Amino acid sequence: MGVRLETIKPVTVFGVQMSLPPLVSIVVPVFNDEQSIEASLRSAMAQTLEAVEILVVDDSSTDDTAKVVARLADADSRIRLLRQPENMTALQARRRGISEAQAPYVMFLDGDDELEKHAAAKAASLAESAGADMVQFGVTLSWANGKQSSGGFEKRLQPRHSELEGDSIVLELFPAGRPAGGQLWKYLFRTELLRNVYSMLPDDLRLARANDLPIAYLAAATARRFISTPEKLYRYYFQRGGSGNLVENIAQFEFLMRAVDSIDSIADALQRLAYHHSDPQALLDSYASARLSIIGTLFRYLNRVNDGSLLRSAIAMLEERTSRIDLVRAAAQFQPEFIPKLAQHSAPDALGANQVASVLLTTSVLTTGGVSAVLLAQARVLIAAGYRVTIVAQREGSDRDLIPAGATFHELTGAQLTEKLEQWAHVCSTELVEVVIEHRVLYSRLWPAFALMARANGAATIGWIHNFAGRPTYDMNDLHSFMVQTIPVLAQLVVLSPLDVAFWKLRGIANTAYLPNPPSPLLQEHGVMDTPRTRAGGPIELVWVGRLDEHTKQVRALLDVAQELKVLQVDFNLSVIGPEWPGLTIDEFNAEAAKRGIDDFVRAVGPITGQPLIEALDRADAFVGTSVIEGYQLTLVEAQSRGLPVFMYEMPWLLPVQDNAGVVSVEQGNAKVLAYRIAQTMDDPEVYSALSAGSLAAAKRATSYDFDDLYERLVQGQLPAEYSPVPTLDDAADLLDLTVFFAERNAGVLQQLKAANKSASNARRSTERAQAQISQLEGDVRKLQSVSASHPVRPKATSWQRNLRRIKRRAERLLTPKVLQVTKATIAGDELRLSISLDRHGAPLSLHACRDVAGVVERHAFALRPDSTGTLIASLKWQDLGTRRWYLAGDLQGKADEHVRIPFQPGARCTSDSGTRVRTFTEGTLQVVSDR
Amino acid sequence: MPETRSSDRLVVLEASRILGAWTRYEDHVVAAVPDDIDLRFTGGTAELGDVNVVHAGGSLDRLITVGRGSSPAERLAKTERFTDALERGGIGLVRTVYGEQLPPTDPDSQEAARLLDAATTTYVIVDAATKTPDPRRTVLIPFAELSERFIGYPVKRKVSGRILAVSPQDLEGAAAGVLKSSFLTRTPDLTFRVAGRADPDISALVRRAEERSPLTFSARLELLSDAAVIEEITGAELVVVPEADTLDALHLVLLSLSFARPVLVRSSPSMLALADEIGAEWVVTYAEHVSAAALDAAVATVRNAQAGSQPDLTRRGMQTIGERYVEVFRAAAHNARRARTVPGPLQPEPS
Repeated sequence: MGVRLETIKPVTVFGVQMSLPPLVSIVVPVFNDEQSIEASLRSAMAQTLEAVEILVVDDSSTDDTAKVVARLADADSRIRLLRQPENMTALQARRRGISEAQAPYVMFLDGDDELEKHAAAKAASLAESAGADMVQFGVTLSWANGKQSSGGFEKRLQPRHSELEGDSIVLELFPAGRPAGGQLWKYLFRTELLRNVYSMLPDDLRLARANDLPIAYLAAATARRFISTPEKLYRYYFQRGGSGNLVENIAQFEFLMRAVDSIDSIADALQRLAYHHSDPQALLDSYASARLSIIGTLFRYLNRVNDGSLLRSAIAMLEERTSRIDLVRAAAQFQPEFIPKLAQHSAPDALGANQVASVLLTTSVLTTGGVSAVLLAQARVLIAAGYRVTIVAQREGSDRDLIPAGATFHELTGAQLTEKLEQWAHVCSTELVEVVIEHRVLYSRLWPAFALMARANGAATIGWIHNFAGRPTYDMNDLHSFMVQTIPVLAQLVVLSPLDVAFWKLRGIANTAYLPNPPSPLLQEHGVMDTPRTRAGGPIELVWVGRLDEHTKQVRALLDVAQELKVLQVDFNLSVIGPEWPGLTIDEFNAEAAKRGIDDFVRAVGPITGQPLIEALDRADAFVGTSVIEGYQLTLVEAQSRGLPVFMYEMPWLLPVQDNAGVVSVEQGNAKVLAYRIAQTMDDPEVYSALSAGSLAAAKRATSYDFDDLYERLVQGQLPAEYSPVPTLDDAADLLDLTVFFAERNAGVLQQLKAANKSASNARRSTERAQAQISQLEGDVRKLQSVSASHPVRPKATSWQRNLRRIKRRAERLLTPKVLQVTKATIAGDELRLSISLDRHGAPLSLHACRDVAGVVERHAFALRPDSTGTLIASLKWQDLGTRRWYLAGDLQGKADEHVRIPFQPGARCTSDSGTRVRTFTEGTLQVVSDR
Repeated sequence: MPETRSSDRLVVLEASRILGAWTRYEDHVVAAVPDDIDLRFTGGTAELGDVNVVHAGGSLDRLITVGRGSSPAERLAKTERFTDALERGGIGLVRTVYGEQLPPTDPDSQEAARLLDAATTTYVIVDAATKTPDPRRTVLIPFAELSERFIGYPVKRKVSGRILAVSPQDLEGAAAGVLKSSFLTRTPDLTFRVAGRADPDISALVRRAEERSPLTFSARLELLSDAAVIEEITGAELVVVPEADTLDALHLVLLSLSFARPVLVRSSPSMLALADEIGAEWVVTYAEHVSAAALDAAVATVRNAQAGSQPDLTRRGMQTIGERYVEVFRAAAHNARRARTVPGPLQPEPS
């Protein structure tokens, strides 16, 4: 049991009151605290433990702080005012207080904070009973305006450990990876411990910022026993006095940056302590983390700054004061949200300053996909050119068989960004990397941290964008802004077409160039055919090669083209070659072909590579492309190398289609015209042969680049100017058109999203209402049962029963899906008419045929009118629906804000005046089918 | 009724010799057993039928058939059966005690311990620092010098500056201490080696140390035979022993000293007593934990030893020590028989 210290009172001897020696010295460093010092000191004077001394150390205040203290000292002899001859920072003020302290324990009180009245008694009691060198207690955080806080900062101030011993104290109070806080006022210390700590520091050390952290850290590192209480014994007034941290000019930042001096001031002492520590590496890690946390805090201040010039100066100053590696580590560990700004304002090391010998290529994971293929081709070229080549996959799961001989391969296995960055730095260092080629610029938001770390290790980063610049617009994300912000950290940006160069230059990225992709292994192995093809007659053999990625390659559009070819009565076969992709399997594709009645013409056959792919291309007459957006499309070049004419939706930026006489392009999405052009060309042997010759010429051009020379020039920073053209007004106009095109493809999505959100919200509310009704119902039933049980004679239950039935009916109605009965579907001329019997909810206000296309809802509105029998007739032009499956959605009567999917009973009777009819399906969809 | 035993032969059961290809404490206990003593070993249960003396160098739990999963009541019941059997059979119980013995906390286990203490004919201690419940029944027999046992085993030339953390079984705390602290030592020519079976934590530390200092760090992470342990010990300048709080650890300390290799061990009354006897330059102690400072200080201490000097272990010859145990066994058998037949004061202990 500890001593109940509140009971210690001055003793009276022969009628004279004798002061007891103090048990706790309260050290109060003050500087210009005139406004708040009296309240602070009165909280110290009001301690229930009378055996305290209050040492106020005035750090040469220029206001009346000292006068206020002197007045209070006249009234309470326990207060001593100690005056520093000049302003020497709070570090020295505390040193003075500790050196003058007469008590075995010390607490700190800032001149703008307050102690709870039991603080000294409780903390000292704990220290005495546990034999502790350090006692931590809880803290109440108050804002200067009187508001109480319950936020994360206050939580971080509270004790996390009840007891600690020996070498583990510092490791637990300052764990690596967590923000380090000094806050000496949240502890009571054994006085000797602090005297020992101060003896480790130079006598004349002055620290303007974070001067409590070094003392708290060394105290924790030398304490042998720690104990805590969650009781809140200290009131910390945030942003009273000097707690604000705005950065409005470089002088302010320079002042804040002195916090780094504080943590650096104990580096030597830490080395000495580590020498005696049971786990010195853990101690050094903890210290390094505390140091990074200080830098992270500076980043937090800088993250509120928008002045680019100020940010650049501040980052440069911090980089000089610490190191590039420290900045990356600190940002990754403590302020990851600052990484984009750090990248934006960290100038890259220019290429070409030194002769490069070691190149690192990186991507997420090595697969057989396009990006990996480019990376591997680059690796082969660079190895052949005599470079030391390292390949880094950013996560596990690479196909190691793909790694070319002569390349060193590393996988980053760390789970956290910080771990991966350390592994990355290790690779950069051990492989003596001078240039990094980063292939994730369009696919990840983590790459800037790696570019910064490579820069810190002396390597410049070249970023590669593997798709057209319009891709983020098409994907409806904010990657453009992120890239424009972060790309400045790259020494060079490489894109795939001159129009891409124009885009990025117009966006302010001057060091942008385009380069063609290197030939695929297939092209390298088989080269380009010499002789143009001729058509032998028979069915037209069409081929498509790629992954079944509906989002960018619009694979289902191939079915549209096939349908149009069928309409044109062309005899053809279309082989769809490539692996499945999330969202579309081979079976699903083939099933859709069957639904559309064209499965005799179109077939997805899965992936084919190597010689079988060559044979498949050689069997074909033409290559069909329906992509909406691509970066380079090597499959197109591969097809042209076999003399295949290409029929595709236009993608005018693509480098391989520039001046390409083997390509027939039509406007995006116009399957009818594309089919027509295929049919027309195949009927004309001369045109066909000319196209084939054009394809061969284009393929020869695409494979004729001297990649050894190009990559050599790239990594040495000597790319010819022709690869970095100046944007023209035409380029700008083209880019605007394309941007508008991609943006308009998403027109209406926001409205649909809003509607969907509303429906979901309404559905949620309905469910909640129903559940509440059911709960009520159950309560009623229980009441009823209890009444029944307590009355031998049947009670007046009829009203209960009626109530029950009513609530039950209502609940059922709320929980029952709204079902429309499509009783009849009629095709009359151009019109599809649905006869809909109305359920008890009445007619919908509007009705749409809808389908989801890559996450976007396509809708066609029905015209609605009731007929004389009360049946609702919904009609629209059936041609608008094509042959796809549609579901029905609408606004329900009386609930105009609802636009929900409306299930309907399948099996409707269908009449038709032509070869076209309507099918309904069990999942609640309908389809217009042509019998012709 | 107890079985009849021949009066001219003594049957001694060594009750805590776990089977294995490693030399242990029990091997020097029986180094001088004459032909008229029938020696049996067990690491588990055994029939006590014709046994005259049971000697345990460690816990008797296996012989009593209790373990960690046993309830205190079960422990008490089985201990009662065991001590009854000793008493009925007039069987002596000799227990070697080493280091600090933590008393059990629950009443049944305390009673079981008390029964065992009462049934113990003789306590053997290997150093004066160890306390037993009854000094009058206690005999001090130092741990033997062991080189004689390993004559002909290959030895390595000492590698100057090599600090070795070794264990014939699992590497423990001191190995971790060496691994964590090695990179901060200041003595210029130090290299570090870890030998023994490692758990995943130690293995990870080893990997990290190898990565950090491939030139100054090496490891042999496997179960070591006696020969391998001797190879490792003789190749080192200083041997760091995990806390020498068991007879197995003490065996490793004496093995190192037997081959004239100094040891760094955690300070304890036993190790301080050993350092007093043999020399602080041979038995170097550290206070709380191994640190870089402790390693540097230990190397400096052992290098202060006179060149070519050897630790003085002459009073610990294996034959002499073995003979002392034989005396204890004979006296214990005699006293136990007397106690069964003639209740009264025990015979005085051998000196």
